[in-house]
Amino acid sequence: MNRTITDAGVAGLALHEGRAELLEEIMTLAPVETPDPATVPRRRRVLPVLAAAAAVAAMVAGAAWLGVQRDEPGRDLGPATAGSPDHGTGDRAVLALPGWLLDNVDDAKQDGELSYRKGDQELDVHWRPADQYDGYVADRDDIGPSVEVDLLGRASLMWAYGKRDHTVIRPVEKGLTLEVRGTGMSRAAFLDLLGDLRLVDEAGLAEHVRVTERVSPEDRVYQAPPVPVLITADGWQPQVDDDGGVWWRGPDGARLSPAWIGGVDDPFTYDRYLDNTNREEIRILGKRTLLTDWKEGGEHYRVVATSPLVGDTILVLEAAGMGRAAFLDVVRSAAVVPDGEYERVVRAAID
Amino acid sequence: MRDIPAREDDFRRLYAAHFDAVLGFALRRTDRPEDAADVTSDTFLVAWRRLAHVPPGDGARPWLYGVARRTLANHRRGDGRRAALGERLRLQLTHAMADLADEVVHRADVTAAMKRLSARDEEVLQLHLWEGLEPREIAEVLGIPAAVVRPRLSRARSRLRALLGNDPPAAGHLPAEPVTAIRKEGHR
Repeated sequence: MNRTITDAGVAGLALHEGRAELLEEIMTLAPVETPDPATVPRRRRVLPVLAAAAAVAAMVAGAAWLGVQRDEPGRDLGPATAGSPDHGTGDRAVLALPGWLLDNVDDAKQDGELSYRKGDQELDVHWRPADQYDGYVADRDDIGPSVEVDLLGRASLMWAYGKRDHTVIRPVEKGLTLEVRGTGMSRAAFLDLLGDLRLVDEAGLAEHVRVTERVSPEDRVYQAPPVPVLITADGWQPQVDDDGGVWWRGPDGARLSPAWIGGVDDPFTYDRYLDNTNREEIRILGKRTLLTDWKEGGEHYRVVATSPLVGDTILVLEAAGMGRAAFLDVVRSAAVVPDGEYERVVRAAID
Repeated sequence: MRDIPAREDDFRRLYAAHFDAVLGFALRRTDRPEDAADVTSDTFLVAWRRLAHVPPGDGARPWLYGVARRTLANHRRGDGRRAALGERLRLQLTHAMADLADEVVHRADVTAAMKRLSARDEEVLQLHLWEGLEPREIAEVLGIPAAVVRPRLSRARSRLRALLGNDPPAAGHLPAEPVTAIRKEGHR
């Protein structure tokens, strides 16, 4: 649909008879409990859980040579030549790297996208028809000047949305142009990651998605956090949702959700809290930490945001429906543990 | 299970309160009005059959959006219609959408800019700007923690602002549009 209707527009549509008739039709049917429609592949879809480290690793063929050239902006590296690493063949690209989850797939032939995630880092791979190349380059030029980098053997244009947000557009090849965007990572890390992309054709893409969907549930959902932090208060247990996210369930149904947010130097300047006067400084995990709370939709939310625990990544712990004392007890029980201990505890929570 | 008259009354109230919202949700995400009619029909059929699972009060709409989202996914996948319902709605909707006036559509530049974002950013912004959902409600629709939605939404808004240059949409709203039922986020 070319025009996107508003709710007010919907309310004004002349549908009275159709609307009333549908209601009566539905109520003539037996009210038999049926399953919810499943969340499963669609043209633009969120996959329940995806890339497994082991399964994806099998698809990696190397291609890490970009890393050595990452600090040479503006350099035209030209097309792939004899002796270049094997970038694969095809007109679209996939990331095959342990630890990265493929969590969104739009597998349209001409205008598709794959979205990968690792903690707070995101990588989006788009492929678009050739005639969209000029338009997207012009659009990205509004961001600022571009520099040339290599993407899968072709000199490509890269822009920086910010110091941890970059995008690169590859020239048209085989009728498609690629754009890859990395968020939550430095320029160097982004360029490193580009070296782990592989070109695939349509069948290769389907195989990539199929393989990532086939892996064992345990491998699919476990994700290592930037820092292994466990809640050690009595009665609190980790839970892992379909998206691979870890959260904590406490007594009486209490729930604590952690989130790792990159690119934040100081929680006191984090934009979510700038307009909140109800803030207090405490210490958690040995760090200066911001405690704040607010009401939303009838719920009372309490949140702590730590000073950076690694690099410029902070940990945010959020809970609803808990008193201040109980909340402080829980968040103060947070402890950094060895990687192996964290993995053991979280994997035990995976069905 | 409640007795049938009480169940029917509950469903009539649910249908009356949320029909426009669910139809709007579907219309904004489908290319053909008849597809939106099918998604709406199937969504309310699920609600009718799973009425005991529909949350009361404000929780009903995100629940319905979640069902509509999954129904839409199945529809796109080619699973087809689950029941031949709403034939008249399909016909009327096709005609009504052909006559749609310009003052009841979202800003084309904002919609176009959203399409240039990643699918993940686009979806969270659509739920926020088009459906007027708070992060907590978006989390219910998507089935992910609110703590994940908040930073994702914040980043998506920044990216949309960057694409729109000097004419960004206000937080939680699209400027100069005749939407009446969009709520602001809670104070944070």
